[in-house]
Amino acid sequence: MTSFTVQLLMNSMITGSVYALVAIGFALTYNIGGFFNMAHGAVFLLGAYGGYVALHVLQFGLPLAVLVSAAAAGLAGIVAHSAVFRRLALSEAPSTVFFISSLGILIAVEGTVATGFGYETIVFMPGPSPSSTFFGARVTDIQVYILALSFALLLALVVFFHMTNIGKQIRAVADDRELAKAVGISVNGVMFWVFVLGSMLAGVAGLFVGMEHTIRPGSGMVAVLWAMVASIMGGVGSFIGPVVGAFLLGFIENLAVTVFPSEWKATVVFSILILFFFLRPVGLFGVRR
Amino acid sequence: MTDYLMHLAIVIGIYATLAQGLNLLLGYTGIISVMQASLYGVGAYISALMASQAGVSFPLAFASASIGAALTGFIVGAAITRLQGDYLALVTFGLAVIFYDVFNNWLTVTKGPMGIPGIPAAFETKEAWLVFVAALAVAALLLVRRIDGSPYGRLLRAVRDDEILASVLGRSTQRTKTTVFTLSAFLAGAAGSVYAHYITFIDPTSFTAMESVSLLTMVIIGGMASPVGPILGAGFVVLVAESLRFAGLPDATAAPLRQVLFGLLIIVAMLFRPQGLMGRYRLSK
Repeated sequence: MTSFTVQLLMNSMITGSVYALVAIGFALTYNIGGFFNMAHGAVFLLGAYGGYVALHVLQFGLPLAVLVSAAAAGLAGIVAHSAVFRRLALSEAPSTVFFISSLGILIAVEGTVATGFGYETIVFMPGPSPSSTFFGARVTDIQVYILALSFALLLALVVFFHMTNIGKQIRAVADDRELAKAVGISVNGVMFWVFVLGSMLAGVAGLFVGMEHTIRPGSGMVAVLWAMVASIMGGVGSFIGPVVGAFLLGFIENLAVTVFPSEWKATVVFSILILFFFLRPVGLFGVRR
Repeated sequence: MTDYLMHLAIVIGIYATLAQGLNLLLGYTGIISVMQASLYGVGAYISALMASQAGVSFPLAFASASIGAALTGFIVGAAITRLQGDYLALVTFGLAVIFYDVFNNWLTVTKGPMGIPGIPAAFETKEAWLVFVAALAVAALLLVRRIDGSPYGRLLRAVRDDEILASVLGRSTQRTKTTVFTLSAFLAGAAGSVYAHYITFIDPTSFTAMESVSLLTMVIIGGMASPVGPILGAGFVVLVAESLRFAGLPDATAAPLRQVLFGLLIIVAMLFRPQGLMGRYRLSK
């Protein structure tokens, strides 16, 4: 392999692992709640800015900042669930109402963040990060940290879904909602945990994006659109699908910037999304229902 | 002061026309589109380029912008209306990003982030503008009212309420959705042209997905599937935004606060009054 290929694969892994953290919660909410949750971008944003405050205002170290990000986003997820989505679920609102409400949450949070920090782009890590070479590819220490922690989180999630009671309940509801209800699983209770977990993962991803690139209030919408592309490509209805979709998206994105000028990146990604909608709307791992 | 009030009325009129188009989609047909501002942008750019590059007169530029946007809406609509519900909404999100990229990056035509300055104004005085924009908003209102009471309007509502039943009764729901998409794009293009010639400057920031969300707010607050709803919604949203400026807040604080307010308005409307102020229709299963 040439160093170019190694570099491309390396960058794709880093981008993909961060996208996977965002996509999991987005896809789970769709699986269990039956709606596309744009508010997922809001918790991502709160995680990112929470991490920024922890790093630069409170002068915490990185491990503590990760916890702050996860906590801020998880808390926001709980509030969104109990103040809005649980009520809508109780009144049996259609998915359109969920979707529009989640859009409302996204722009309200985006505005809140902009009130505090302005619309400017924020740099988390000024200056170059120390780096090392790996088979001819340059990897910064931050990237190694991001990659290691993302994979640890993904692994922990696999364990969670298979070993814990709540994890199994989540899988049961995603698989067959009516059957799960019939054996006494509370769908609302499961939904609560989906929001907590999904939001915490998205919050950590927000911190990572800030460390690796930059953050601005508009990043929330970008993140949720990326999660949406990853989920649709991989298949929203499956567990492994969104993760695979996220890595595929990371690869496409990094490949696209070597072929097209980087300002057309979003156009390339969304064109592929639209192709998927027409050619394989259930995604790579989806099942037609 | 009267100049300022007239300016507000003109802005409300432009938004009312735009929101009227979205009302046809969201209120009557139940289609969520987050690319209405993109079609508005297509109209604005066509009109601005024709007038400032080729020296075309306003009436011709206005007509071309409306038809150009309608054509774009037709092509997009024909391609995407076969998708269902929320998937359709997601695709319009993706298209909004693509349209924005084109406005922002196609430097040779759109001048990118620099925007197009010096678009010739269509009318000299604010009074003349007010009359023209009011006429446009009233025309859009009459069009929607006409549709509301017509067999076509019933067909739209049938597609919204039960798409499968409508198709079982022998209606092509996809063709219906495509025509309503075209119609709403036509209104968006007309509004875009007027905006370009009124402000005399356009740049990509006016045509974002976020701008489309403001339009959704107008339709939702004003009331879905009500011909006067979008006018009330546009007036409400514009006046709320202006009152923040009146409260003495600098623009840097007023802009994000406005966003917070719109977001909360959407959430509250969805929780407590999904049919909006005047709406006769609430989103339901």
